Amino acid sequence: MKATKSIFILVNLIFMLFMFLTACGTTPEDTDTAERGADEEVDEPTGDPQYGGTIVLGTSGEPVIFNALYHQDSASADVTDLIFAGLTYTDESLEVQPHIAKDNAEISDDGLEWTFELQEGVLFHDGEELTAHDVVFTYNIFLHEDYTGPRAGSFTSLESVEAVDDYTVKFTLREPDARFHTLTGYSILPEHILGDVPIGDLEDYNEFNIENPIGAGPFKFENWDPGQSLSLVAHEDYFEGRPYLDGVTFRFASDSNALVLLLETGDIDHMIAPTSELVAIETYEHVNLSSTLALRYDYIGWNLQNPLFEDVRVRQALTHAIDRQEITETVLEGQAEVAHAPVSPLSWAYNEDVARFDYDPDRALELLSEAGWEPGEDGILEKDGEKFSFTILSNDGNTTRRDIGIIVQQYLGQIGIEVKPEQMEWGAFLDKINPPNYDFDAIVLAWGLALDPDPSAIWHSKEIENGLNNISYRNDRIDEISDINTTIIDQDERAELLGEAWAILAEEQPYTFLYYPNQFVALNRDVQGFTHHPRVDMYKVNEWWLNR
Amino acid sequence: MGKPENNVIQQQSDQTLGKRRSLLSIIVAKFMQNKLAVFGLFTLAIIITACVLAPWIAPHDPNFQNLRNRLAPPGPEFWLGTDHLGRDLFSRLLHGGQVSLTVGFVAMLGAVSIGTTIGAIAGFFGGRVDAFLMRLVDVIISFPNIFLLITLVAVLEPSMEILILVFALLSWTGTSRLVRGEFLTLKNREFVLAARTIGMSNTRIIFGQILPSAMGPVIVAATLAVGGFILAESTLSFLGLGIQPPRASWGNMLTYSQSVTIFRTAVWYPTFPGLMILITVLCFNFIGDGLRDALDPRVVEK
Amino acid sequence: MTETLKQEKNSITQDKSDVLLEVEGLKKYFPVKAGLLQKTVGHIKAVDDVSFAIKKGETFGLVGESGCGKSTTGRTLIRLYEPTDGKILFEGKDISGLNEKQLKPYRKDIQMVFQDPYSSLNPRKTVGTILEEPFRVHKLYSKAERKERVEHLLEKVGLNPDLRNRYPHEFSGGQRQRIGIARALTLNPKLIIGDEPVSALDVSIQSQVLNIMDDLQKDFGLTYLFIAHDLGVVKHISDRIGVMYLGRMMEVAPKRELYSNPLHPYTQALLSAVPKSHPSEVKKERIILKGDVPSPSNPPTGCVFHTRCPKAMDHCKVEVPKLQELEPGHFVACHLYN
Repeated sequence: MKATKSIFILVNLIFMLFMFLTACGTTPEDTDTAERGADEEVDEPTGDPQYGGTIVLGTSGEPVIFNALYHQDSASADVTDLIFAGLTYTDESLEVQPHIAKDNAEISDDGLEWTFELQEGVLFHDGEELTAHDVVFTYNIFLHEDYTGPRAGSFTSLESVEAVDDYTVKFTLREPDARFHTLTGYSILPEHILGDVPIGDLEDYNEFNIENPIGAGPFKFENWDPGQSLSLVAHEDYFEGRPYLDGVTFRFASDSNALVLLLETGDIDHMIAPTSELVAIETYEHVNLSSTLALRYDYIGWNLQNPLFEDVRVRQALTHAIDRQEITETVLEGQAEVAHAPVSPLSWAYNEDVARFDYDPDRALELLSEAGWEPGEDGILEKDGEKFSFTILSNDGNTTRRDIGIIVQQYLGQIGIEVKPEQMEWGAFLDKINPPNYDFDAIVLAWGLALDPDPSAIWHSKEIENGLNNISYRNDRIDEISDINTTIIDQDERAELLGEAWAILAEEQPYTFLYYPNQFVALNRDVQGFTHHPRVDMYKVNEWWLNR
Repeated sequence: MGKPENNVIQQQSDQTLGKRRSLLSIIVAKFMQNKLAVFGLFTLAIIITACVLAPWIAPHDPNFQNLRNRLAPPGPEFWLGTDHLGRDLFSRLLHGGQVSLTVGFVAMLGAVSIGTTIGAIAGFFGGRVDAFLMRLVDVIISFPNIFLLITLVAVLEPSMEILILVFALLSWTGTSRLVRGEFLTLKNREFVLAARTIGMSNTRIIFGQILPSAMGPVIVAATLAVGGFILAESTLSFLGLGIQPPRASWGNMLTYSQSVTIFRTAVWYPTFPGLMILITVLCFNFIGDGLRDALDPRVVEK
Repeated sequence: MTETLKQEKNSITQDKSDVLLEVEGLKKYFPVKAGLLQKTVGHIKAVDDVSFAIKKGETFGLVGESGCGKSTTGRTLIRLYEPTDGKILFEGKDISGLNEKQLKPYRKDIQMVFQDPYSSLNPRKTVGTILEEPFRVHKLYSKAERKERVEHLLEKVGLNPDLRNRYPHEFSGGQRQRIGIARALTLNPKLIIGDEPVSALDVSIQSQVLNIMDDLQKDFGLTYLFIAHDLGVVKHISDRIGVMYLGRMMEVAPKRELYSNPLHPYTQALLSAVPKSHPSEVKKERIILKGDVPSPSNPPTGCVFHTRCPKAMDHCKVEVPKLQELEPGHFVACHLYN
């Protein structure tokens, strides 16, 4: 609990929190929205879109702040995504598309100047027009030395941003940055409201951030009753046209069981469905399930500061000893694909051609034997009088991760490794695994991946001290690739370089990469126009409509 | 203690002068009249025996997972079905019972020992000692118990030993008040004064003279407390703070079955641990009620 | 008659060597506490400046209404209560200030028989255990000897020694009181304080128990302080009698003197209430006292009895009367005799 403030450093990556560790049902090659269960009912238009009605979204996470420059949790992100609009957005194929901007950026030949033309007549909820000055105002906050939010690190390559005229904005970079286009989607804040607030005070400026956030997105903030619900209403003058829905209401519930019951009774129309509840949800006639491969992977991290895991052969053996195929087929109901490298098959940088350490306990024992681990009198592996025994940690709200800890205990127990599974409250868990403590042997966790595949934030050795490289992985070649890959603008060339990084990481097994899960969305069948995005929960909600 | 009772006693002792009736036999006879209590004792004896013998009678390793056989219904191989990781529910129920009952009994012993000692000291010596100890009790009681439990267990990292310790340290107040009350009444009874006139030491008076007479209500409270602790362990398990996996307890078995899907498709999974908790706690309450009547001092002392 | 009185007086008050227990100015105040901090807000003067002496081998009767402090006096003498002030001289040695350890040898010498035979025996223990407890506390005798002594004592009080394995609840009230007496005898005491030992018993049983106590006094050479709430019971057994009212001693006199010539108006009132067991007493009229006994936490000024005294004078409200020897051996605290 002490750690709640401290640790979320979600630079390009976020921890996937809470209990919705879920998955969805397609093969990695099929990144399109897929259906499960009553196929013919999903996405099948039953007529023309119609206006009116409010849908209720069920969630167990309570938002904290409605300002994309500062929020660090997915619940806040879901709400801000509806209230605000950015220059660009990332579509369901993970391509960056223009949004407020008329077109994608015009990039100078040296790659240093990015120019956006803005649509005219984009109105904030209070009727003021969104202009280039608002964009400049927003991006300058990131560059300001008093900026207190977590995203300054993303903008190190940005030198300045200026308004050429009311509808033209120009970003100037210090060096070419291949990631930059993924940074152009941030919510644009209204300068006419926030222009006078000192940047240092902006994070705590609750009149805007909590009580009355004003954006140019499809829905207007209406009311928040903490612990109960939050309601948004349609923005009549939304620049893409008024949303079909009259409003969107978030309904907060204590846990996924409560949500499933609310879904069953029709009190909520939408929820992210935990894999463990799919069987129940499939039986609800009024609910459709949609699934897509999520932009994330789940893993077991081996703390390399612990001498137990120093030897690469040991790490490879550990992966060999865990039947990931069985885990995905059983605990994850087949709704996940075994992972081999820290990159999603959804990414253009995915490299299939990496080392694989499939279930092979005999090979595991061989490798361990090579590394000097032999069974002791009690059957537990020993080396230099020390037993192979460690604790595997997971956070207590997450049943799947908890179960994986117990399952791993049995798999590794079978080759003579003693594992103690342990669960911990989320805050305490983060406190333990994050800098400066790094006080764990092994963790079960997941990364929700950023749109850009840059590996720096997790794998660069400079991120050990105060970053997300919490297992203290260190490899010179990975450092080098991390340093240079973002300067390579050509995507194929960059993909090749990153492919090398994935191959190294797969071979070294600093993590046992578990699986790429599918994400499921349970949706009342009256809701039409839904598009399943692998990364964004509140995607194109302005196109949803109710067939009631 | 008036005279009218005199005759009754006279009759009673006349009647029983022939056959010996020890105090214990009176209590036992009285207890046996309470059918629910006897039923509770009998059922509990079976449950405890089964749990104690778990290593010998459990048909499977309680922690062995067979992921390919998850949530199997009750059948000839797995009598009560399997859980969400394909472990044998019957074996886990027996081993989990060991844990739950151990937590209940040991925590009860701890709480009763602390509560009895403190209550005895407060009640016997009175005055400032009493005032101090009772304020201490007030302080502990004034914390919302479940909140304190959750905080302590979370801070100390949950394990069976910590659970027992925290239960015992937070739950002795009731017993101490009970014992103090008994001591306040009993310490001025003439048999206690008589003990003092023969020069008996305070320790000997407290433990040899007063305590045996004060134990009746304590035994009742202790019996009820065992059930309470089993429930508390379940509650904490429900919050993920109870006995940690893979070790089974009835509470954490119930917790792991908290899923709409399991309720719909494998209802036996939550049902069995739930029933065990229900039956055991009920049994303890029945026995406690029976003992309350059987040990009633108004009945026993006359 | 005067001759014998004189002798008695000499023997009691002058020949100190004959005195077993002497009480001088004994006070026992109980604090009254109130409020959160349990502050002492007043005192109940249960025993206030009481003096008397008991001769070896005699029976001293202490009489008064309930609440007069007679039981408190007895319990303070045996040090169940800490005396507030005054001396308790046992065989010339002041035991009022001794701690429990120093007191232990005297515990053997002074024993008590309690009023309520139902609460004075531990219901959880057998009679044998109860009677052996004093031996265990004082580490006396071997196991076999203890058993033998217990059986002997049971016989002495008229109970079948085979009953030693029984629990108190298996006995009648009179039997239990005999067990209580047996317990008081275990340590061969010199003084036994009987705290209304028969008042809870049926009248028919009372005389049995009194007779046993009488016999035992002869057999064991005991001295008794016999506390009672009416003069009827003590008449049988006492040699001398003290009358208490509201924490103070009103009158002390040899039995015959007290009954034939009560001096204090309170004693006179008490005597008139004694059931007439002898034709010679018929002539006396019953004196009925007005009002209730005042509260000992706020006793009347002057003579504590003045509020109810039929012969009260103005002077009585002001000055506390001293206990003075009006006739040899006959003490009274009353302004009527000044």
